Amino acid sequence: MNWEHLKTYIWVRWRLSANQVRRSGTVGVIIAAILTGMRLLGGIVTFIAGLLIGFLALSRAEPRVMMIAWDGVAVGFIFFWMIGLMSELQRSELLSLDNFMHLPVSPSGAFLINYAGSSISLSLILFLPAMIGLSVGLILSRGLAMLPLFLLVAAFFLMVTAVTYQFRGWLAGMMTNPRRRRTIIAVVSLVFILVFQIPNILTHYGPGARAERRASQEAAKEFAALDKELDDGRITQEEHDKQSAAKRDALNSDRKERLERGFDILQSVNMAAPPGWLPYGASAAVQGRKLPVLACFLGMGLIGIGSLRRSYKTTIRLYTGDFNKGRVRRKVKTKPIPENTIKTETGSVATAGFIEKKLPRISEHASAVALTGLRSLLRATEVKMMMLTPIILLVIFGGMLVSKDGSVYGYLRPLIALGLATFIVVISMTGFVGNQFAFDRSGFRVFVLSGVSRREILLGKNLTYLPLAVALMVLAVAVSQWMYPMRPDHLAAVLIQIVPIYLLFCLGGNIMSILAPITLKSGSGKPAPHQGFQTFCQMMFFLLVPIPIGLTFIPLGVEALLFSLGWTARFPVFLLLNLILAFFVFRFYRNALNWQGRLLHQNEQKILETVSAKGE
Amino acid sequence: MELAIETKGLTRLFDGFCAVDHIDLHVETGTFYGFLGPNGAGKSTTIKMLTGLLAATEGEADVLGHNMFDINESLEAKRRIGVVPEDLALFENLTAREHLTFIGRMYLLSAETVRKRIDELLETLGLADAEKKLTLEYSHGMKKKLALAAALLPNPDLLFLDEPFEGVDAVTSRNIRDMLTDYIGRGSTIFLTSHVLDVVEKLCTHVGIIAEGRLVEQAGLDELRRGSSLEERFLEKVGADEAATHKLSWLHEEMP
Repeated sequence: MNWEHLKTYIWVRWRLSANQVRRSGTVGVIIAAILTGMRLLGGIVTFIAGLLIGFLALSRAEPRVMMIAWDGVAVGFIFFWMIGLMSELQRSELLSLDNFMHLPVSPSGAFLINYAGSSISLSLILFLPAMIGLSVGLILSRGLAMLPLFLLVAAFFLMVTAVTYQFRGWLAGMMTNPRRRRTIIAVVSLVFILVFQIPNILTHYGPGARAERRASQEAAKEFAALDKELDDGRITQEEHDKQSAAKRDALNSDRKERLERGFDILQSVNMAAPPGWLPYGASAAVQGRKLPVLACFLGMGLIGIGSLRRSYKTTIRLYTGDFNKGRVRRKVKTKPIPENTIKTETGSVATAGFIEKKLPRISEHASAVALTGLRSLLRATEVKMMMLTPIILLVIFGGMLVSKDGSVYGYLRPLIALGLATFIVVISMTGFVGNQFAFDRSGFRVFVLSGVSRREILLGKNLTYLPLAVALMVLAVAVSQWMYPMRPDHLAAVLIQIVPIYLLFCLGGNIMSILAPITLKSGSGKPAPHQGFQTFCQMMFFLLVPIPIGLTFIPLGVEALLFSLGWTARFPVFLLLNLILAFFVFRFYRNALNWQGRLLHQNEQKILETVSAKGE
Repeated sequence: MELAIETKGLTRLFDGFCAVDHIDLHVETGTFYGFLGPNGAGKSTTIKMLTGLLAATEGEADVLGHNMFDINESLEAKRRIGVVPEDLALFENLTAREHLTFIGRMYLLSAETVRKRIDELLETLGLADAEKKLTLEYSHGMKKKLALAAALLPNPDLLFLDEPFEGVDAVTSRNIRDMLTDYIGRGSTIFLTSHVLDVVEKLCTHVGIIAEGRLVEQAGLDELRRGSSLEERFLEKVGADEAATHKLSWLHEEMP
């Protein structure tokens, strides 16, 4: 790699980005310019913020406070860095190493350029200036003894970028198989969500949180008892104040002790985990302990260099085509060909099983679309991942609600159940139902080419998502019933109301899918960039679809109103009205499908152009 | 003679660029029509318009007597045609058998007929061993074969094939050629685009040549060749500059 190669590389990368932006039209160019400006501004702002914090807020801070401050910055960086890494995994590289492997460029040069190129990201633009600013601020306020912070910051960035580069290369190697690629993306995303949920879980449910809650509850009881004693005249105001102050002191002392223990644990974690060596080194620098600073610097530097070395070896193997070096090759077992396996012309029993089935009272075409769509959907790992998100949300929010007081007014209970069901279905299914044809990608071409009524295609598509949506809504109602049990007639009414909610949601989703489809990145289920208007429409759909769904809540309101007026006591008005509502919404849905089918037919070529476009 | 495909002034503009410029196609029923042209000449755009994948900017297109730009009529035509489009049309998360079963159901074929035809198609096209793989795991050639199987499955009256031999191995290519010859033998029509002039010369009865969006020739194969080879006539019609390579003066220089 020489200067010419470097210049060419930067030029190519610039052209790729510029062309990508240009293709998105004038609005896209403006948005890209604004984003670039914001990034640069963000870098300047974080530098100044870091400088001020270092110079003013941390000028006299204790080593522990210093460690927490650096912990915050380091964790923040790693969090955003990992989000960037996951996005990178879901799209092909802007300029892959493969593109210049056959060119006369030295492997080491190509490697370094690729590594540097892959490290430039939004998180680096925001956090590197912040850390430099913080270091400069601390040097200005605490003197030259803080100079090693620059070395620690450099080593920290080298370590994080090099390790993730190696990790990315390793994953990329495994992702050459398209089926495995999706699983890897899904698993990495899931691990990421779970790892970054750990602090949240510990904060809410960890031993410290439990102790804190217990202590607060006990203190509240003791204070209430003291108040009662005062009210009963058993103690004087002076005694009350004295005892209250003593209890508050004891409470604060306990809290301080727990905080001290927390600090100790944090320090141990920082000493043991390499990402914590920057905060630990910073706190040691404040104390003037040179050896830990040096150890942290060397440790992070060595990890970074080791990772780069290993990545480089992988690159060389790629260059030389020696992909399997170091691996023990398994013996390939050849499958014996069974005798007497001659196929007769009509004797074949191979079937497509699930896809051949017919749904009762549903046309052949709609059945085929629904079952094929469902089979296809359940095989897509990105869809499974998208389905997992609401379940995780349900567990987190459900768990939080469980810990609250369970006394809720009777009519609020079905409202909570319906609200939760609507929330879950809107959160989890909007991306699917509001953009139904995009997940098929080139498969949508089959529909356009077919002579099938477009109404049947829409019906089949809506049926595809029905089992998933109903399962999620029933789960939400079950969680709600467990937390705040409803009357049997209310429970039945809520379950019936799932039908009109889903049908209205589908009608809205059909219109969105037809009029504002979004190109998705292949294999990720995420929208391709620069689709401002469509994304805005989808967002508005997400925000506004609860309004028509909210109309289905009227029967509950009617029963609550009649009850409050004393006109009904136990008569199941809500249930009866919901049955009538379900019938009329179903009729409305059937009629609406006719004109939606015509709308689909009129717009199918435009939809095809969008959904089959390359998402990169 | 009855026309399977007829267009009048068929035109398509893309942001001011004219991809297809007022072409008048006449494809008689029962013919094997080869649609030739250099890269970017407008072949795929034409096929997309004829199969309802793309709207025309101007002009008319009748396929099997149905106006392809009329919403209701186009559905009638689509029930009788099979298509292998340029970008194929496959569900990537289905296996070959599942995909073909789905196609069979869309044409309302009985389950038994679908199974029988799938078995034969997979065997003939050399996909039987890979029928349980998802199509996303297929190579480009395999995907092409599967798309062809899907187009043939309903036994349509008219087949549109956009580069069907591209990326397909020699043995399968031969099988496909035989299948298409049988298919034509029963009076059906094929509209095919291909870069491989040898294939067109061997299979087609009629040829249309498109260059820069304009239909520059349309005739029976024999009439077009008039004693010459198809390649020579093609190069002549599209205006290829045979001396282009001689203009690269630096080709004889040493590498720096």
